[in-house]
Amino acid sequence: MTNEFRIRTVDALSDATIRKNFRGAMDFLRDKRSSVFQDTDLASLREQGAAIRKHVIDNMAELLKELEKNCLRNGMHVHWAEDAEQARAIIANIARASDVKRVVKGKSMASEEIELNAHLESLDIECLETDMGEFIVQLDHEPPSHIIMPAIHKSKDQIAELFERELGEDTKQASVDDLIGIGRKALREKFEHADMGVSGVNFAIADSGALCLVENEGNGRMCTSVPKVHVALMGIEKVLPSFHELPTLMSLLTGSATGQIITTYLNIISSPQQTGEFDGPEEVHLVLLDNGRSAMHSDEIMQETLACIRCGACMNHCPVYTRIGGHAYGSTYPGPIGQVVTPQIESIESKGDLLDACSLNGACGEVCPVNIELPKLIRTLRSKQIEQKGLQRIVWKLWRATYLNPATHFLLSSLLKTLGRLPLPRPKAWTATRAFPKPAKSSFSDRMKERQNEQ
Amino acid sequence: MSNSARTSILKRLKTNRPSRAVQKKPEHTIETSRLSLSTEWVAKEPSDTPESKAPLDRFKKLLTNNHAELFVTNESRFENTLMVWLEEHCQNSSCIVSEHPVLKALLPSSLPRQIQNINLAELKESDNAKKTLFHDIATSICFAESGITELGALVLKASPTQPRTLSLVAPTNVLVVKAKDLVADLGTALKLVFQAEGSTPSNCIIVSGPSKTADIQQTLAYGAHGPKRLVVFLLT
Repeated sequence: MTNEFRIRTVDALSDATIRKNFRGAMDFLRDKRSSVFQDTDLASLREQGAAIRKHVIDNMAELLKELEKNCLRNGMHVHWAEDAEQARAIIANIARASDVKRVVKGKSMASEEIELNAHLESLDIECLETDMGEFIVQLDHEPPSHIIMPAIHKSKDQIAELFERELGEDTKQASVDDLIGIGRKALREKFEHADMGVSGVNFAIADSGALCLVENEGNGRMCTSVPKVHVALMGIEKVLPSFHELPTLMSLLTGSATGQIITTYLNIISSPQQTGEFDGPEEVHLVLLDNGRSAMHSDEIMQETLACIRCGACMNHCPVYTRIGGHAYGSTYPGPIGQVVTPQIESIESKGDLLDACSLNGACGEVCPVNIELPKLIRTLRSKQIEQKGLQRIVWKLWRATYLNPATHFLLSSLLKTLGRLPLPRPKAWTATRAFPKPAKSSFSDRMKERQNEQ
Repeated sequence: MSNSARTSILKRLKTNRPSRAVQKKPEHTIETSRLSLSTEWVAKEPSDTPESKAPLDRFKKLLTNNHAELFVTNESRFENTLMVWLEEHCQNSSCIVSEHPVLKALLPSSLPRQIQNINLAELKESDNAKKTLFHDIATSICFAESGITELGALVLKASPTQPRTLSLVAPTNVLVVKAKDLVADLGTALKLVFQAEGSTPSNCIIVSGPSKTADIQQTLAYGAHGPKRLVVFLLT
């Protein structure tokens, strides 16, 4: 197992600024969520959400075909990508065909997943993040640390410094409003001159061929309506049967993510610019991304992962995420959902160590708006991981055999009792942060025997 | 490439479909959720409020809580009210009015002379249309097809007479909505837009306030990328 994750974790834990920024942000988001759901029958709403998502998982192939048919009917182009490489190639081809030099991008975790920015930049195409948080982290050459609030790890002062350094603005006295004003000014010019806009998709409506996108800033509107080409990238699980299911999931998404009953903007995009219209993209391309999702679908337990609507509530409530922050995970998706998604998209061998970042406290499962049993999924992946590790598997098998038999159990505990008292070298990984357990003077069965003799 | 990817993705999703999926009746589950959508989500109003007034009050309250500036007037007084507002807020700055037929009927006379009115029809023909939109327009006036009382939000449809960027690029956006067009919830609003006769709009936006962000240290700031001010004229 690689130790990178452990190293990053230790670094994050000893960084007081990160600890403070995440603590503050998580408390803020938790409070917002709990106040918006105060007067709601949240349990029923979550059940509805879970039922809808289960229906989607059970009928995904049919829904995707229907979505494709209706998007084509509406004049969009539809592309299918099996993995990140294919998705990057598709988007690069679209850009090439329209001679695109400047791309503006709305917030999209799928585009982070396929590392689109780096790819387009390698082709000499500028790819600019336009969500304020994403813009800030891109400016500092960092990945986002939270799926909803990407620059959550930075304080206002750090951002002011960054703007001064990278944008040459005087930010000594700048308030948050001033800083947002600086960002607005820088990005306005980019929106005006961009050739292509890239966005994610929160929900795609199969029976109408419509794409739904939630946002507060208006950059999503800019990216999807100002440039002449719009590319929407979505994970194949984001499909919904019809508009009937949208209100339930919208409430759950915005309520869980930012504690809003609705975001400032809900974009519903049905087609490119129509005859007689003055603006809007001339081409709309929908890229359907698999990248490991159909493999998750094949596992009867793990397919629940695909129910996720990417609200971020699980990380906001995770005691581990709150302390180590998003960057420590070193993956596109951090927190509990990231621990479940990442080893499945990449591999358990390479990313299985993320599964250690869980105390099985269950908070994530309790807040998930679509009732994903995240603790169960983490445990299932841990079992799979152990199956792959020869030594661990043998140890657990031996442990099981020993503890199932009173005689062997007695032998082992007597042995450990004796060994524990000897001054043998201790495993450092354990004792660095914990006291080594001391064996009790007498065992439980010995004491029971003594008690029986006394009576 | 795309075609073979499509085939293999769909094949994997099909062959992998577990047997339990076949046994369940998803339609029933979805049907239940459809029925209770609106009632579940509404934060409960005090029961002694008269039923007819409560949704409208909620609509107004949510909009103003979301930093929108609200003016309640009626159809006959609207033109006058708007002119007064424009004279006060848009002196020596330019303003553009959508050509939405309903809005046109509500605003028969031209704007006061002090306000530089940019004509949409002329703008459409101009070579510098985008530049004008991005740099020269301070205020845009658009018509909202409907509003959602439960959410305090307005529904805007893109059309040849009301381009989508009109309500987006100007620092101040004025939206006009008729109280009789308000509906209870998102589900009803979507039904009206997407299941009504006639063509589906290429782009539909549900707006609940001015553009905003809390991306810097969770501090709310308005005017992130879209309008800094959202002014709503509610016609009762």
